Amino acid sequence: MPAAFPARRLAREDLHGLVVRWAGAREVVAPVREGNEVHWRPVTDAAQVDWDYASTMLPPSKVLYKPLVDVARFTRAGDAVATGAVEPDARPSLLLAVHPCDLHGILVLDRTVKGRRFVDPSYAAWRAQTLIVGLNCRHVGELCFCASFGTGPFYSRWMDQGPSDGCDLLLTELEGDCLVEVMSRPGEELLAGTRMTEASETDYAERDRLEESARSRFKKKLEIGGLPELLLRNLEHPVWERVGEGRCLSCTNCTMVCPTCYCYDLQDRSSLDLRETVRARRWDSCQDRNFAAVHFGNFRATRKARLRQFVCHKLSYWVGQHGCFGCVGCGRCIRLCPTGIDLAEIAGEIRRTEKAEDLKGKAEG
Amino acid sequence: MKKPRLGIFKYSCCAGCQFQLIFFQRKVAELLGAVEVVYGRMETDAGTPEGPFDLALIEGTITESWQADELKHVRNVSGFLVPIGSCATNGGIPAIKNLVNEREVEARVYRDLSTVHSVRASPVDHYVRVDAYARGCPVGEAEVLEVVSGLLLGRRPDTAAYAVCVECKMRGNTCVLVSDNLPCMGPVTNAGCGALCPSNGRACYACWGPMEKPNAPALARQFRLMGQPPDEIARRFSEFGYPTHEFQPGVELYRE
Repeated sequence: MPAAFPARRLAREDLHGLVVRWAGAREVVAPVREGNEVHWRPVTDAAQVDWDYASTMLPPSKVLYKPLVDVARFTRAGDAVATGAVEPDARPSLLLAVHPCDLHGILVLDRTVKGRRFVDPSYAAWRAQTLIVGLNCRHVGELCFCASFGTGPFYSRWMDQGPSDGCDLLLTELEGDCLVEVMSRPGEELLAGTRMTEASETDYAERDRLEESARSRFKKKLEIGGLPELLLRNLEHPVWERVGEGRCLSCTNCTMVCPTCYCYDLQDRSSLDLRETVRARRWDSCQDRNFAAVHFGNFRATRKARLRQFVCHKLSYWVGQHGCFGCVGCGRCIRLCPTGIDLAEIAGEIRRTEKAEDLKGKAEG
Repeated sequence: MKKPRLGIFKYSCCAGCQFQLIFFQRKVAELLGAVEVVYGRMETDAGTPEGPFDLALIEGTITESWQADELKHVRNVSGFLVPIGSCATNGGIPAIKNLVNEREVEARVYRDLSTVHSVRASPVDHYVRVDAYARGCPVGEAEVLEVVSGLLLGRRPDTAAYAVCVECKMRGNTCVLVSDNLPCMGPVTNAGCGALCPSNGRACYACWGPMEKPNAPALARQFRLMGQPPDEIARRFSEFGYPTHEFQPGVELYRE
């Protein structure tokens, strides 16, 4: 079966030449291995890129959604206060070798911080200035479950998004060569003057075989049918108390590394002569004790309540709020949790035990 | 505008926080220019602890009874009172002595105990109400600037009140706990240092003290699963902030 978009075959060394060329025109950010972890870092050469990575620590969506951004400046002169917005500092960039789960992470984040009702100026500016080269994923990790959401391991058109919303080019690594699918006009321009051949039926067949092979390697699965309602019915399930109080550290790692988490706090910093104040947006987390603090404190004062908020937001509330799941199955929140809390396992336990309790109820009835 | 009257008080500690205030910060001139230092043994020969003060900064742990008496007086004559640094905010290093019987601690240092009148080591807020905390070991520059500017502006200082993990993620550090299997105290430690140790590949050792309501037992159990010996775990949770109810459960789990 041919791929959804016209594809071409590109030799590996030509791709490597392209990376150098792209890096001359814009900042190229790619997965780079540092010790036991892989991070998104600027590169100037294809040899610096970890093409075989399974997952990175922070998702690429958070290369675009910066952790600390100045948004306003207040200057006092006498009794008058002048207010000024701070313009975003976005530069032309390119995200290279983004796996499909993370492409979807960017699409989900688009809906919230670049949506119809609210636009984060910094994110929107970086998003507009950044080209994205996707890479179909052949390295299924132990904790990956993108296949459960249809967000991977290979990229395909998703919901109401146009094909070019997710990425500009999409790569698939074949034996020796690369299959390149062009998703947008800027993507076409990235390839200008490059020697390529039209993809053949054999290439498409190899791509499909690789996709099947990747699909068969998933160990982790999350059943999503009826999941939002299932969780809403089980807000007092014992799993919340057991895992929340027993294992959750409120360290916020799960939300910090989540590709779709967007919560922020505003902080003011004033000069000591009290003449100038800069207001910044900073990543915040529902797992933090002070996150939802109002008069008399946080209404989610217990770890149980905060863990339930995270899991239910991703797998239930998000659907009503933004029309899609807030989870793309990348597995980062599980891998980076110091005590290994697993939202898919929590959802699975609720599904199993609810069934058991139903059966028990029927037998007794 | 009249400059606010500042008093700086030192109790049991290394004096590193005062050094930080008057020597090592990048904004020493701005800080000292924004206030009138009316008392502070390192800063001025003049002045007495009598006050009054618009702002009193307190460094050090309370380990002798005269310190508690003076502290209560300072509270009475000060508009704002802020503990600076780990010793004053959570007991810091001096509070390690709380692990041992008081008499035993005294005997370890002094031969003649008749003139020694030490008490259990406690942070400042065990004795008096405080208006904000400026954490750190030594106190963080950003904490001091935020506390002073916030109080002068009449708004509650917005210092970091979350785990070190937040700063690690914001800096894009490798997680030394998860990826390198190091016994990192970051998940239970108050941020503000900019994740200094993990940024250099080292495990956090909680020198800024506990964050609000950390889950110390869960992290202690995780350290055990990671292969840390019990006495090492107890040591990590008692090096800073042992008098606090936040870190005590982490120590009690594995203390012999």
